[in-house]
Amino acid sequence: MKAGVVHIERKAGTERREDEEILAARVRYAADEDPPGTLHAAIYRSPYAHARIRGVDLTRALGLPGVVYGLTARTLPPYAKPMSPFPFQTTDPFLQGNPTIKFFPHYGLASDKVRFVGEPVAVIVAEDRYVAEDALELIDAEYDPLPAVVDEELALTPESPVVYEGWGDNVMLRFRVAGGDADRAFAAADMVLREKIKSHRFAATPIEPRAILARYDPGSHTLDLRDSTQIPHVIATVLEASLDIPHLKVRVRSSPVGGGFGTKWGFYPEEWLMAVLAVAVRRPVRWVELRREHLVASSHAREQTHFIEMALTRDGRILGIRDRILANAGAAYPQGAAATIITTAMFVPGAYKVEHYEATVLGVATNKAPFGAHRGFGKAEAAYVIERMMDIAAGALGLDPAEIRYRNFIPPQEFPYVSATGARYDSGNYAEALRRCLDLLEHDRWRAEQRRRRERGVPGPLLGIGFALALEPSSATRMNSYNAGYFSVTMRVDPGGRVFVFSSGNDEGQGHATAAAQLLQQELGVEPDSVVYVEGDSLLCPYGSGSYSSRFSIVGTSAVIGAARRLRAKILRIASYLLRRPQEDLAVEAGGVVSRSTGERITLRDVARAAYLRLWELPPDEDPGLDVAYHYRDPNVGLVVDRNGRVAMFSSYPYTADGAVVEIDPDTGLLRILRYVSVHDCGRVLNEAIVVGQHLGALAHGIGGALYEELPYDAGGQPLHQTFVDYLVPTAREIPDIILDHLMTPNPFTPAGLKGTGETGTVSPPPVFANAVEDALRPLGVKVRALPLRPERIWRYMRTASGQGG
Amino acid sequence: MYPARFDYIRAEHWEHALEVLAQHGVEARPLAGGQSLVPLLKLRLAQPRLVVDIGHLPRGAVVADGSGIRIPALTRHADAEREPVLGLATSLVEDAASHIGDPQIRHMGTVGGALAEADPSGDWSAALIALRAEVVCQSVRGARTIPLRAFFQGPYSTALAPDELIAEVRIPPRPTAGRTGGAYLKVEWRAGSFAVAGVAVELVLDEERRCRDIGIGLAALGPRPAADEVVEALLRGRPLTDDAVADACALLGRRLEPYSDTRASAEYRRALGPVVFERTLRNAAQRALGGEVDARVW
Repeated sequence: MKAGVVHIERKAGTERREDEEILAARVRYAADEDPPGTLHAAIYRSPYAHARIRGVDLTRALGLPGVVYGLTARTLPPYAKPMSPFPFQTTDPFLQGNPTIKFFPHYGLASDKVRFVGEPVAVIVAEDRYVAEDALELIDAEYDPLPAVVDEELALTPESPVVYEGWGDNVMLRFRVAGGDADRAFAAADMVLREKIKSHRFAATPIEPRAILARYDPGSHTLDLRDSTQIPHVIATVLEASLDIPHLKVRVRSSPVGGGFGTKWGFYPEEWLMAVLAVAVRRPVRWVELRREHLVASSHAREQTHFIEMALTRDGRILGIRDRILANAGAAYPQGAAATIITTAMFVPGAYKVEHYEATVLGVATNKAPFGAHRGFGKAEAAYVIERMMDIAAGALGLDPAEIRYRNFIPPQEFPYVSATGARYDSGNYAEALRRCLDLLEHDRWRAEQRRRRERGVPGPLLGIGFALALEPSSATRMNSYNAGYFSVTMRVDPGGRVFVFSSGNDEGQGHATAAAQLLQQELGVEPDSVVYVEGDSLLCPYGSGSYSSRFSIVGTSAVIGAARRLRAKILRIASYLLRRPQEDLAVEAGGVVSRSTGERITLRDVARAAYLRLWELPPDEDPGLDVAYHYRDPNVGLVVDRNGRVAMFSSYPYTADGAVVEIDPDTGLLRILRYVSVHDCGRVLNEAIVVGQHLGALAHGIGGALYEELPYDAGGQPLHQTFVDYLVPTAREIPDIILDHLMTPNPFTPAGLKGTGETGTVSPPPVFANAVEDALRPLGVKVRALPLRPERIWRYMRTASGQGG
Repeated sequence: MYPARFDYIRAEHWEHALEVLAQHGVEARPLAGGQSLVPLLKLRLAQPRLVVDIGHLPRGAVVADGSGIRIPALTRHADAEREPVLGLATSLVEDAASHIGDPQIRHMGTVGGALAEADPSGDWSAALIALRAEVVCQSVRGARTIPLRAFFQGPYSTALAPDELIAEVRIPPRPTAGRTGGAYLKVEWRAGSFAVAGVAVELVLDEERRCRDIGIGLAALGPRPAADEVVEALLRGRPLTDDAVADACALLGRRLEPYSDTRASAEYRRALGPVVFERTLRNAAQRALGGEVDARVW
């Protein structure tokens, strides 16, 4: 894969600082941590999708030489409290009953029932992992299997098995959002389209699986977790709330993380379990996730069924949308599921001016793995539905699929735009992005070629063109959750003149250190080599909610800039005193402060030495020291939901206009990508290498979801794709050369004009390819109803259309 | 992934390996390139008491003479792919070997190991069946030669006894008359994944472009890697007209006994079989006539 047509100047000094150490394998990931005396945990997981547990007997397992300890739900130590809920803390009156979320006390190990294949039932700790795995085979567990439910529609029927008996039904979450007057809009419509659109279950699959090393020091009551997580502070907080240990202090160290993509945004049973075990055995306990565990029991995403109705005028203007959404939340310890599902309901209108909108969403518990965060978080599902509907509507009205989009886009002059769901879109130019995309795609030429082939009945490959405008709202804030709209940074200059940045972010590969150093060069005139960037340590770094929702480029960079400016003010006050020049005459540059009028200069080190070592050089009213704390408060989010469920939950609205030309082999259903264009707007681009890398990676991820990756279950709840032999992540050969272009409409709400980056690319390919394949098969009158578009599925569409059944 | 406990013997030489196998029988598993056995061990789907490592033993050279081509069992896929002796004989081997797994797998995995594994979707199996190859199987009891067409007995099941190792693959000499061309095509979902359907064809055309002889090997289209001798007989002696090809494809489609798995349904495989066969046959014919072809199914 290579990118062409990148309209960004490469600036000197923007090379990623992180790569050399990563590529030379000098970076130590969580799984590299194996101090002397470490014990190794293996987790016994449910083989059943749904069963009552009659008993779990560890006697034989604990008797195996080398096994040190083991736990089931019945033998938990008294300090083990239920896992504290995440990210929403409880059902809260603040939410005004909308959403309603059901919780249940979850202990990390199944007690009465198992609810999905892979659910932890027992854990064994041994001198090495091999012995621990051997011991799992000696566990005597007895179950009474129960009927399983895997389908979200069936789960809502009265006959369905109930996953959580205490709830009475399988509705885990209910949320409604409404803006305008949908009933009136539908009454006035020339045409109403009704569709059932389903997005499929797949997952993020970071290269580094989850890994945890837990240590407990009873002398200081400190529990130290080296944890491959995106949210170190939050894990520390929820762990403290989940363990009844007097004077307990939890420290979570996450950095570095080898890819997260949302999977590591969550509070998992394994984190709770390793903490409980480390306290019990008083030795370090380590668990490294197996790929099979990752695929069946970390978290999955995307599986939703939409019953959508769209009211249109004859000329293709959308008057209103109603949607009823069923999200297959799996066996839900309510993790990312609730937040994801609410997000989808908020963003079905996408990039279009839809003034009348109403959606209800149900999070439905089933006997599948839990639904969690995944790059594209709820917005991918929304974008898939609306971008499919735009094509379906165009077809129904005989309009060009680009034209119907132009007629409905939110026009550039209406930004910031408040949507029917209360979202505040920062900026954008959707029509321009789509125009550029179609130009680069050579849309008109391919359309003519398609017409030629069809008119002349040319046998051979079927040509299809598809495109989509994918919106990816970024930097989420949720009421009374651990995702509040702020970002914290502390910054200090040491007496040697180096700048230490302590951030509440968490890098899983994004390049935060590179970005921060670039910003400090702009704000403080310091060279990247004199910046020390620290994050991913709950003890050292200021409190914050870590990484998710592409937030570093929005709130993270803003906090770095804010802290730097606060620090600069103090630097200038001290420098003014030292140089005897007014502050207005001074500028920070090249590692120091210079007088514009006299050219006289002092170094940052001189200023720092005054602040720490030579207090007589400080202005008399100035505090010693050279450090600041800064908490950036996001100005473009709302914190209160109104009674119709409306709230400005996201801060920034990056998007991409993507298009593809594909050919399909009529005999086999094999698909070939002839051309792929992505026109991407993440606001101002701070670092080209990071943006391009993130976007191409995201596109590969999205192409995987569109064409290859899925997590199917059989009717009994057995997961069918448990290894990478079946779960097909695309390789370099599957990813085409991408023609990439950037549109830059600055974000007016952030000091640097940045939006989120790195997620839009996962959102666009599913609708692009669904639209392209449907376009290729248009002469057959086929409607694409499911993803991924593996060749057999395409073949079935063609076969059904040609009346051969299937 | 953590295998169950096993003992490990690193064979000092080939005969040593045969002695160990003779002693331990079904409780021992030979380890050559490890590309099937190691994942099976790690998933605990295989739990042998003893692993006998033969992967490091001298591989030997591929040799061609009047009696045909001999490929030592420990030949790596990547070596076979680039082996000039094989390349001169048929393009079929390069087509098949170059589409196995990924470069790392091809540098570790062995020809003998792939045949002994007897995966129904095996690329080598289909290719060598089309070439009417034989395997020389050795044990302390002696050596015997088994035609590959009789070697595969079912999914992951062969005529190999527990104390036997495949020592060598023998490809019979090319016919002296006529023009030969070989091809292998497979449908796979993604680079490096197993075949969803694969067809190998080794074709001999006479001067009038009639099919003098043909070998057909099928991968992932039935319970075991197999030839289709009825279709071979139908084409033998006939000119390769469009009608003849269509008849052969239709017959092959009717005769398939495809299976369903997580990769594809039997129904889809039944549809793919004739399509892939036709394209492979055309590639083989094209090559027999000295032309270049695209070694991808589409």
